[in-house]
Amino acid sequence: MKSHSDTDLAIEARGLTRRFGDHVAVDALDLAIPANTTYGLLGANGAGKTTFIRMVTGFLLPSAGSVRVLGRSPVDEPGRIRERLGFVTETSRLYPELRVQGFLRFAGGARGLRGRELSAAIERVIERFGLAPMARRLVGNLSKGYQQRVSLAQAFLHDPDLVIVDEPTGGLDPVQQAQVQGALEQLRGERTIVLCTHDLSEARRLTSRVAVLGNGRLLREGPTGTVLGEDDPLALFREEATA
Amino acid sequence: MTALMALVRKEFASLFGAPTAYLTLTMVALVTALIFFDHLRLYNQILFVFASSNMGGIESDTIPDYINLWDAVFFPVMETLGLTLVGAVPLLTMRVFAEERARGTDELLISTHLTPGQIVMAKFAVTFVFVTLMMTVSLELALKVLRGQGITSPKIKKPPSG
Repeated sequence: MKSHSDTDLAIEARGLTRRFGDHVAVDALDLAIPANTTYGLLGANGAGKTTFIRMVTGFLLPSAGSVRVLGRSPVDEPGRIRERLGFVTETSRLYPELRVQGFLRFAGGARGLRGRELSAAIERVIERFGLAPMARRLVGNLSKGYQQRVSLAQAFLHDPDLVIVDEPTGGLDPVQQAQVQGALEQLRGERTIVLCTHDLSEARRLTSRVAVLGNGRLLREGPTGTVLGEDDPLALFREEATA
Repeated sequence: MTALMALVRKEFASLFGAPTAYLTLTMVALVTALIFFDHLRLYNQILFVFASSNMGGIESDTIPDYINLWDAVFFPVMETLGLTLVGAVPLLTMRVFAEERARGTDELLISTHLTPGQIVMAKFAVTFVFVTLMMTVSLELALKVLRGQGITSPKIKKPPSG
């Protein structure tokens, strides 16, 4: 179990806002994500989930408000946060011309690992995500399910405290979804995982708390069982559409 | 530094892992070779004209100074290479960042320890090395002639008699 000596919150957003011209993608969002939980960020397409995590990773700057990640600001100290952050982008956002091992070597090197430490980290994630048979294959020749496992593996190379996973099963068939969800299920409780999804069954299976976003605003927040245990959880999404 | 070198190695692997690099190298080398041989042919024709009109042959000091390998072959080839690079370099550089964005891997890069400055530096260094390689391959023939080594065709073995 990872310890967060500097904060009990992995992510804390206060009045976080991001505008693209006249469009407000994230609207004065207040959200606190506790450390060492698997936290679901739910919402339909366009709800503001991806924009929110882009501000958390430092890829986008907030238009207003603030966000603190592992006790630091991604605006002021992006480097310090990235040392402790793993990020899994949507399916197939990899380098298809590289071999799996070569890609992991690059990803580990880009996170400051080298020599024996890097080789050990690669071996560890290859074993953990069941990539041994594919280690010498080109990433572009793998199935989407395996590509997503490679994407997960690269995020865990440097043993981060916080991992953000964006739509991990989007575009996968049911078997591949089950494989990726199985891999994520094994990681629960080890560290903070923020799972960005619009799949309610995935959120039920993997997360302990969820936040539902709609039109960039926070609609619901609480334990997964409570929020998604309502008679008609899809009403949340309908509510979002009319919000 | 580790992160920067990791990106440099990845950029080389990506560049030579796709056919674009080989196609560009081949095209530039072919165009330069064609221009080189065309100018060499013209140069030889001029020498032949002088040799024919002057019974002293091409060793004669009647050939004016301005007819030499540098002016007749090397500089025209360089000029053509410059024009070729005007087309080839954008082909290489346009993809450097556009490809990352199109694949969505720009977010992956930014989420690592690499700073935007290091990303630019690594990509510039790899493209610079590739363009240098392209120029070296293109100028090899011309430089060989200027060094006085000449261009020789491979020797063909005689077929066994009987």
